[in-house]
Amino acid sequence: MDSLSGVSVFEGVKVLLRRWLQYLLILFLPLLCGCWNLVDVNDTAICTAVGVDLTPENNILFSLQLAKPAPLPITGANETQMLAVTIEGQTAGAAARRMNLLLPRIPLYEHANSLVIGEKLARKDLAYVIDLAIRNRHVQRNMLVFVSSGSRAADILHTPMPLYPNSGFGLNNTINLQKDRLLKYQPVNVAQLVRELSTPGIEPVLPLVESSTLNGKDTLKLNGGAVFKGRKVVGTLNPYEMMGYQWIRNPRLQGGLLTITVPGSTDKVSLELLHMQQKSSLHRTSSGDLQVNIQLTADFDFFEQKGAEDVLNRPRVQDLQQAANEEIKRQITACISKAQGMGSDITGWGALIYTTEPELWAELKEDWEQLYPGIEYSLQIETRILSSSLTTKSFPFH
Amino acid sequence: MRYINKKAGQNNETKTAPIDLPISKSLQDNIDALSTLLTGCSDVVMKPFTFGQEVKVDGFLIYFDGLADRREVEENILKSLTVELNMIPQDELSQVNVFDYLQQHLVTMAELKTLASIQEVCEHISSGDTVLLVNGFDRGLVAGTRSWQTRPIDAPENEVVIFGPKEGFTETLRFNTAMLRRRIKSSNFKMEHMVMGRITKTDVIIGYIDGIVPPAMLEEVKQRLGMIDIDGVLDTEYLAEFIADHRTTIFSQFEHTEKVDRVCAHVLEGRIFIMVDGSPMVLVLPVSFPRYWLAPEDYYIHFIPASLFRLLRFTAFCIALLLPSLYVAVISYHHEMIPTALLLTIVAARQGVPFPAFVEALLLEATFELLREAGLRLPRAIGPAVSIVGALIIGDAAVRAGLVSTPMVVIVAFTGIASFVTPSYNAGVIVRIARFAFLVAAGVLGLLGIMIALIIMLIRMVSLSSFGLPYMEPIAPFNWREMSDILLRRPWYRTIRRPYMDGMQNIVRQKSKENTGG
Repeated sequence: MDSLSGVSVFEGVKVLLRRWLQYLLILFLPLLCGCWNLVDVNDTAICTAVGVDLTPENNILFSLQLAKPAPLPITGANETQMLAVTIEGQTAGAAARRMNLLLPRIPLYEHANSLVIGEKLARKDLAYVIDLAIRNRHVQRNMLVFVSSGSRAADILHTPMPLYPNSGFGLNNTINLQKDRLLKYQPVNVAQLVRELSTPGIEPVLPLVESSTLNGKDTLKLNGGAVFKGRKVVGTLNPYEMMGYQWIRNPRLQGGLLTITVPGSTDKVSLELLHMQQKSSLHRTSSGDLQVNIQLTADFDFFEQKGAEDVLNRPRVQDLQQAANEEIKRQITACISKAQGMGSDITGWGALIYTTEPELWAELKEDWEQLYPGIEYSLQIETRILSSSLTTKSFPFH
Repeated sequence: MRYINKKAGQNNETKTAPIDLPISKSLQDNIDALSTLLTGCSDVVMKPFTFGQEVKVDGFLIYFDGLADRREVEENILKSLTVELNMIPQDELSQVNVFDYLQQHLVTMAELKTLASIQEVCEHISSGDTVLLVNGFDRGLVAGTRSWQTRPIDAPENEVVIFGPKEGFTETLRFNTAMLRRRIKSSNFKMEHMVMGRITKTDVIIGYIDGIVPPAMLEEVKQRLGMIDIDGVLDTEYLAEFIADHRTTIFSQFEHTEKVDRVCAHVLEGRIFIMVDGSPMVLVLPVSFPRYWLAPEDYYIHFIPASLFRLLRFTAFCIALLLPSLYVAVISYHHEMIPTALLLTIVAARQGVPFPAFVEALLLEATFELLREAGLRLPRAIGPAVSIVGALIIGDAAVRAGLVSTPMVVIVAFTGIASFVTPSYNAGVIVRIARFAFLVAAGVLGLLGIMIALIIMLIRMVSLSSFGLPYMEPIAPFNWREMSDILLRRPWYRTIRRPYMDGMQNIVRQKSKENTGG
């Protein structure tokens, strides 16, 4: 190899090297940012529920319920595998960060699907926590919100639920299941809560959760709803009124049970809701007053009869439909009169005026709080019993 | 390296090598030249002999033992010259016309040619032909006596099918061309011959169907092949690297196959194949990447199951490419994307594993590749032993020792299975290499990294071409008509046209009443 060709080969290598170096530099570019946001799953604790409450000093009492991963092989999947921790902070965010003073792992808030707001905080001001809920990217918008009743949020989080590893998910499951099977409580998630808090003319109702006992052990139970007015709770709805609230707040419903008394007897009959359609509209009475007209059609399935009378014939079914009609009417009336009594527009009539007659709303919105209790309403309910499950007769006792 | 016996300034080359000589009229000169050339070739048979009664002629027979059919040499050349020559009227024969007489009447073989140079003589005897030199003539007579022992025709081990033809190519070019010719009985099916390799003088066949193939592409292939200067061609891959559009890329722009029916199918769609003597691997071109997902078997079973299998295979391809990196990205960066119950299980399984998920995945993937590579080269008797040690003992021990977590083992094993589903070995290679790149990207940037890597890969892929055919065709440029035969398998009765290629002469596959033109 003579010297001349040696130089040219060297030049060639240099050119090649330079070209490859360029590629390499581009390839290494992503490495510059390092493993940004890397959180190894071994350093994390899965959070199943979050609780916020108020201390007497007006600080936030922040609680977390963490899932304890079961050791392998997983044996008792239904056994309680949870741990609740509580810490105090000046704000909710600060308290959440202070959690790492006692927790050697990073809580994964994304997996929490229940947010329990302490009764104290709910009665004081929701603004203490709602900002964090919409600002922080770790808070999932579909997390369901509850209000604790009679105890602190931390106590709710400490309480296990039967047949479920942790009560955070248990609570979430419970409210979702009862909606289709029982129709008592409306699950409200963070996104809905934020929407109702920020829309004028509608107030949120959050399900209440309280500690109760089951076989001598503490457990959680849904019981009624917390009615908000503005940013704080002003009162509660009992389960009966909550059902009335379901009828008027949902344009459509499927599933749920309605129990009525058979007319002219003390027997009870349960009807299962197949389908419900509801529409509220604005009317004026002959005297020119505003009136909300609620039209509701509900189709039922004959679910069960407590009693021996043969009610499954045409005239008696008509009676049952009439009774169901009146029962629904009673529930709705109970809910509305309670809401009007508290002056909290949980029925969303303000929003109804806003969407149908915006000019009128512009006039009314200043005084809506005073006007709302006096708004009149009419109910047009049509109920049908469409089928009777596997048998078309009452039980043939002899 | 320095040669010990090479002295400075010494020129080893003689002025005229015997190979450059023409065939001389003197038989002795030719014998001398050939003896010099073939010194050390122990397998050569050289037989000087004399034939004729009144006119005595010296002849010289040369062939390679084992390559030429000895019986044919003896029956058709030696016997006819020494015995049958005596039966014809001797006055017709003279010293002057003996060569033509030999050529026309005596050597009773179909394949006969005359040669003029020593070089040609050497080339022909190396291919198994027998050369007859006659004193007084500057020509040689070559008789086609090629016949040698070869592997029987067999089903290829690497392309196993359940339905359809199973025949595979062998190492012998003639058998291969015969198998193809038997399937395509058209005079338009051309197999052009080329000789490549300065030393090996390998026969190369370029096959296509005239009237379908794009002529410009054919010309380009021939031109690129003509530019190759290499000493030896032992496999089609030798040529593939020379003639590819893009040389430094992991994306193969050819299809390699051993199956006769597969080559026929390609040729019918206007593609070109290159076949090399001595290798059963046939190179098909041009090929676009999406066609690597197609298995030949798809066309031999009903289109509904075939379509479902194809979807399954496509899913498996994505899994093989992305699953480990997705797992690493989700575990390390995007915990919120995993359902909580699954995350709980994973967290429980990963308790006490000392490595981050990325390192864990890298280690296991590397182990898997090692095992696979080891399994390829092993004798059949040892193969199962390695899989047992590899899969069961290492895997189980690693999990028990807490070095790796069980979900990761599941992921890597699943990926391994999925990577075997891809029918094309070439696509499998791409997946195996790219998987590691994706893994690194996922370890560094999570899903964002995977997206970046995916975009880089797609940019690279759409920038490639195979003999002018866009590499991602028919996905990019998008073509609905052909997509229906990529993700799903189009029924045969709907396959009116061939897959489009630029410059194709005839695209119509089925001439129906509505469809009469290309």
